[in-house]
Order: sequence, then structure tokens, then C-alpha cells
Amino acid sequence: MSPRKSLYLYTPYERIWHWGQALGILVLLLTGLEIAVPGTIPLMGFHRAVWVHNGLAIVLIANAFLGLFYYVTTGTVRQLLPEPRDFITLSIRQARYYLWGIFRGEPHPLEKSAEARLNPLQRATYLGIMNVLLPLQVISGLAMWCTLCRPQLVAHFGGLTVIAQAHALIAWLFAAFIIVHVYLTTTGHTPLSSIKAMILGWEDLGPSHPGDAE
Amino acid sequence: MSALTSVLWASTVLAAGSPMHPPVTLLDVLEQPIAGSQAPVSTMRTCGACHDTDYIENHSSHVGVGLEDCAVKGTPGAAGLRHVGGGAAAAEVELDCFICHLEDADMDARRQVLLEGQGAWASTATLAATGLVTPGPEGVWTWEMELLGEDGTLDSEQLPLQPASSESCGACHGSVWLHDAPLELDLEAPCSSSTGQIFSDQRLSASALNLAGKQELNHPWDVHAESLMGCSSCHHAANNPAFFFEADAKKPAHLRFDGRRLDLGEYLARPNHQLAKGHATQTMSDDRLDGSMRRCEDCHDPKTSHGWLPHRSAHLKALACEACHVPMVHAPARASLDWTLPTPTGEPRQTWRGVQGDSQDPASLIEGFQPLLLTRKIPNGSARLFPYNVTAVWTWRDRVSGELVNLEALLAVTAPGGRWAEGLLAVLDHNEDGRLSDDERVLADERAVDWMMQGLRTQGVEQPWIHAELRPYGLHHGVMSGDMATRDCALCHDPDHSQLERDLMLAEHSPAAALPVLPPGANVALDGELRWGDDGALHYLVEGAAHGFYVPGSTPAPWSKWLGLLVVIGALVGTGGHGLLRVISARRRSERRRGTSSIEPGSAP
Repeated sequence: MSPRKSLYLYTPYERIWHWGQALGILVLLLTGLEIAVPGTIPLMGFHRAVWVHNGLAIVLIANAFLGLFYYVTTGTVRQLLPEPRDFITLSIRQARYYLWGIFRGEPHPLEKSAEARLNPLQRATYLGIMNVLLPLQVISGLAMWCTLCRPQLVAHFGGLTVIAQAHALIAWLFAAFIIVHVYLTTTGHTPLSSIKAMILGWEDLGPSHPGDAE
Repeated sequence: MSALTSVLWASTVLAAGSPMHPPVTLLDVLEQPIAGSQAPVSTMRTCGACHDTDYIENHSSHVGVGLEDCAVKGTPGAAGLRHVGGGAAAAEVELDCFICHLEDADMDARRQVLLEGQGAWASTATLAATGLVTPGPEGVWTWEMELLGEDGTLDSEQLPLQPASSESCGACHGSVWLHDAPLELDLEAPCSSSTGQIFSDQRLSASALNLAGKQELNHPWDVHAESLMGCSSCHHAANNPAFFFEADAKKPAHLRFDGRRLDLGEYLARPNHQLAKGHATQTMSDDRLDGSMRRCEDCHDPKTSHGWLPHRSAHLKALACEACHVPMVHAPARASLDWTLPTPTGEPRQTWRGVQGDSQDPASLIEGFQPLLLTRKIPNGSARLFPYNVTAVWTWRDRVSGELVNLEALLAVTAPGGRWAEGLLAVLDHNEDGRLSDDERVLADERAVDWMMQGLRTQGVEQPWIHAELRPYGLHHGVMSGDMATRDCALCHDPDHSQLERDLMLAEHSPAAALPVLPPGANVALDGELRWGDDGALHYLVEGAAHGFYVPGSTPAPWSKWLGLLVVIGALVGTGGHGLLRVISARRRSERRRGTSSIEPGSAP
């Protein structure tokens, strides 16, 4: 039997950053829901929910910038950028795996490594989230916050009613992303191997294939 | 003593009576002592001996008010009987200083004289409560000569003069109750009936009113009245050196404080009777004085007392202080006023909000009402939510001239000779008792409207039509202290409890189904819509936050909510289905593997 292969994928900072963001986004979603539709989740009351939501949003934005600084300075950011070469072919192969191969017990089409821990679909998704959804959410949130300081500016974008709805819609998209993201962590070697990796840093990739460099 | 201190000191001393005021010789219009001529007193001459009454008359907010109503006797909503005289009416009715500056001004006697058309005696009649004068035959009043003495000079006990008190203002402007006796309600008080506001330092629980939950209402009717402030503390004379402030727009940008003040003597000689005011919702005769009054923020610093308020600056910019500090009006206010079919005695049909049953019956339970928050444009171009009572008003007008049909013409049609017209009874007297009850006195029937229009044409109204107006009355009095003000976020942010979502009944009936519109020049916006209910009543419906405001929790966001929910449900169904298929396929593969391993070469079948 081949020896099991484990890879050190996530540094302590990356793991703390990830879980910090995850917790923050979750609390933002819950408090946001309590603010937008009071009474649906009697979590902490409207008043406190507003404080927590706004305070946490600032912490999360700061954490996002810290993360960006870390990823850029360590060069890890390259892992998040889709490789132009064979991107479409590899993406189709990955999508085919999720839609077909996974049900037939086929191996992952792209093997994880410390240098390439994300598949092309993940890279594209994270790129969209980090560069489109997150900034939009931050901007719409800030616009809602200071709308009375700069009402003319907000009016250009259809007023607060439009901005608030956009903010709410992006929040729902984040919620959907979290559901899919958590589900896809179960598609590793074992259902919990990816989550364990984000806790311990090491991911169990299963038995090593013949010819793997030890 | 500085002029400022002198004025404050004088205001305090004089407010309780007038021991400071020198004796006054009553003069007639020819500047002859009344003691000799026994003619009507002339305030312009009597007071003018020391004060510049011509200046006062030319600088008075009140001189023009109600003048139009004096000219058109009996116009619905007449303010004519409250006209102070002077100005264009001076030849007939002189400016009556006693109305505000006499401790016991007899307004009833004055009104009676005006009704009798004896305008020259109006100021004299105002003195009736002093006993100096008594009504005589044919509207001519008689001076009590033994009280006047030889030259008609009166000391402060005989003629108790005073600075205008809050009660003086209340005589025309609303219910002011600043004494110990349990408060009683006068629904006929002009402004109180429009707003339900009462200016009193008394606790609600100590009043004589049948208030719902009275025992719990241990706060004063108005926190400013409790703080010993009076009407003139805010609505002060424009040049009162103690209160005067110059609007930023009118002074050099570098100047924070202008130390120049009128000397006390100068002020008393020429007190400017244009009184400081805010921004009225409806056009008024003294609109040029808009914004001359200090707002709440000019005296109070909300930042020091609202630390508990999330998004403080956002709230303070979106909400007027009154929006939270007038959370409830504890007296009835007029909901509708229908002048289209007055009683034979000239009374309109009125409905009230905030009271169960007959508003005139002291036993009726007064529940009070929650003000309606309306968006008001403020001078800096932005908008804020202010509390209002709204009254739907229906009147007959002439479409050609645009003028209001006066009461005399109306009564000539509806009740000639003081009895209901037969033709009107024929179409409206459903129970055939020969009179029209309040329920019958509604021009809801097309035949009745046609009958009225025909009648009005005979009275010279070329094109009679029913004009409907929704008059918003701002609520700036009846202010509650912080502990009684709105603090519950749910009152705006929870759709189940939000005062921003309202279904306010305006009137049970609406003459000729005429939908009211805001008065011209009104500085508020109606964010909701007027609708007829299933019961035929006219409702004002507001759904969600006011226009231009985003109120989390209250502003409906249907498309984002449903689209977002759809995405999340899609994610759940997709991942759930995918996971289920994975489990099923894994089991099959596992079973297949087990099947394969059990049929090994050489084994028994």
C-alpha cells in the first residue's frame, strides 16, 4: 500500500486570517439579517446588531487589507491568480470532475501542491469575490453609512434605497458562496480533510501515487 | 447694570404683574383724557405717550392676521374675531395693546363688540374685567368715573399691565394652562384643535381630562413649560436685546458674536412686535420672519445627550428633534373639517382623532394619537422628518375667482331663515325627522352636490366646486424630556411596530369624493397615498420609510430579498443534491467493489 501523502498548505497566519474572515462574514450576515428584517433572528436586538455590524465591518475591511498585504509581500497572491495557460481546458476538466467524475470515483484532475493549492475554478471564484463582490459590498456599506454626509453622491447611484438593496443582494450572494464553499471542502480526499487542513495546516491527500516525489 | 441684565430682570419682575409700570392716563383718539371725554380709549394714544406705537404697528406680525376675514364677514375659518386691529383696519378697529399687555384682557367682551360692528369700542371692551368700564345700550360702553378719578390716571393695580404672557398668546393660539387647577380642555382653542398641543407645566395625571392610562402619565404636558419657559422665550420680539440673535446668513462671516445691543430704554420705546418664528408648513402672513427663532439645537447640544443613539449624526440629520420628543399627543386634534354643509348656526362638520366618542363630552376617553411623520424640506436644501397632525378640509370655492364661498352665501342656500332648506332635506334627511344629523350632513350623494351647486349659483358663485385640502400642522409643542421621548428602535425599524408604516383614517366621509391635496406652498411631502377604504372612509397609507430615507428594517427591499433568497435556496438545493448523488454513487461503487472481491478465481459460487 502506498504511503499517505500530506502537504503543508496553510501557514498559521493564513489559517487565522481565514477563520477570522469566516467568523466575521457569518456574524455580518446574521446581524445584517437582523437589521434588514428585524424579528427574523432575535440575536442581539436591533440596536446592538447595528453596532456589531458596523464595528465588525471595519475590522473585516482592515483584516482584508492585512491579508492583501500578506499575500502580495509573500508572493502567495500568485496562487489566487488564474494561470492564463490552459485555463479554459483545466477549468472544463475541473467542472467535468465536479459534474461527472466525482460520482464515478475518479481522482481529482489536478493534484494539489504547496505552490498550486487552488484549482482554476477556485481561483476564478476567489478572484471574483475578492475583486468584485467584496469591494462592492464595502463601498455600498460605506455609502449607506455616510449617506447623510454626501447625499448628492449617493443620489447618483439611485439613492440609498437602491444601494441598500444592492448591499442586501451581495450579502445573499456571500451567503450562497459560503454554502457552496463549505460543501466543496467535503470533496477532498475525505469529507473533512480540507477543513482539517485549514485548522492544522496539513492536508491529507490520500495514498501517494507511484512516482510521486517524496 | 447691563442692558441685557436689565431686560432679563425686567422680564422676570414684570411677568408676574406690573408693579414696575408707571401710572397710565387713558386717552381717547383725540389725545383727550377719557375722564373728560368718556369716549372709547385709544391705545395708540394712551400707550403712544411713552411707546412708539406707530413703529409698533408697522412692525407687528399680528396686525395683518385675520384682516381678510374681517373684510369678508363669516368666511369659514374666520380669524377675524381674533384680529388685533390696526394696519389696514385701523380706521375701524385700532391696534389693541390690551389684548396681550393687560393681565385680564376680556376677549369675549371684545369679540362681542366686534360682532356688533362697534370696532371703535373694541379696545375699551377688552378692559371689561378691570371693572373700569361696563357695557351700555346699543354697543356703547360706559366708563366708571369714580374709578377713573379726576384725570383718568390709573396705577398698576387699577390697570394691571404686563409683558405679553403665555396666557396672552393662548387666548388666540391654543391651550395654555399655567395654574394649579386641574387642566381642562378647550377644543375650540384654535391651534390646540389643529394639533392637540397643550402648553402646560402640569402633569398629565393631575389634569381633569379622562386620559387613557392616566395614572402612568406622570410627566408634564410640555417640558419647556415645566422649565418655567414661556411662549416669548422662543417667540421673542425681534429686537429684544435679551434674546436677539443674528442669523449667520445676515452677518459677516468672521463675526461670531455681535456685542451691540439695544439699550433697555430704546427697546421699551420701540419694541419690534415681529415675533421670532420657525418655518410654518403653510404659507402665513409673516413668512419673511421664517427661521428667526432659535431651533432646539440652538439651545440644546444633542451630541452631549444622545451618546446612546447609534448612527447619531445620521439620526440627527434625518429626524427633527420633535420627531422623537413629541412621541405622542395626549389630547384630541381635528382629523377632518367639512365646511360644505354647515349647520344652520354655521358650524362645520368635524371629526377628531385621539378620542373615543363625542369629543365635546368630558367623559369621553382621550387616547391621544401618535403624530404622523412627514418629510419637510428645510432651508439648507435637505429634508427631515417632522411630526404632524393632518386635517382634511373641504370647502366650497368658486372655480372662476378661486375664492372661498363665504358662510353667509352658504347658509342662504342650506338654511335660509335659520332652518334647513326643504330641497336639502328631501335629498339628505334619510330618517325624515326634519333635520340633518351629523351622519346625514355629508354631501356624499350626487343629487345633494348638484342641489348645492344650483343653490350656490343663485348666490353668485359662478362655478362652485368642492375644494379638498390636507392641512399638515407641525407639532413643536407638547415636548417630552429624554426619558419620555422615543427610544425604541422598533418604532421606526421594525415593520410590525413602525410608525413609518401607517394607515391613518382621515375622514369617515368625504364630500363628493374629493381627494384632498396639500395647500399651495406647503413645505412637506406626502410619502404615502390617499385611498378609499372598504368602509368608504378616506385613509392615508404610508408603507415603509419616507421618501428619500432608507430606514433599515422598514424600507421594503423586495427584489433584492427574493432574488437573494432564490440564490441561497439554489445553492442549498444544488449542494444538497450534489452531495446526495455523491453518497449514492459512493455506495454503489462500494457495493460493486464488494461484489467484485467476493467472486475471486477458484472460490466456490
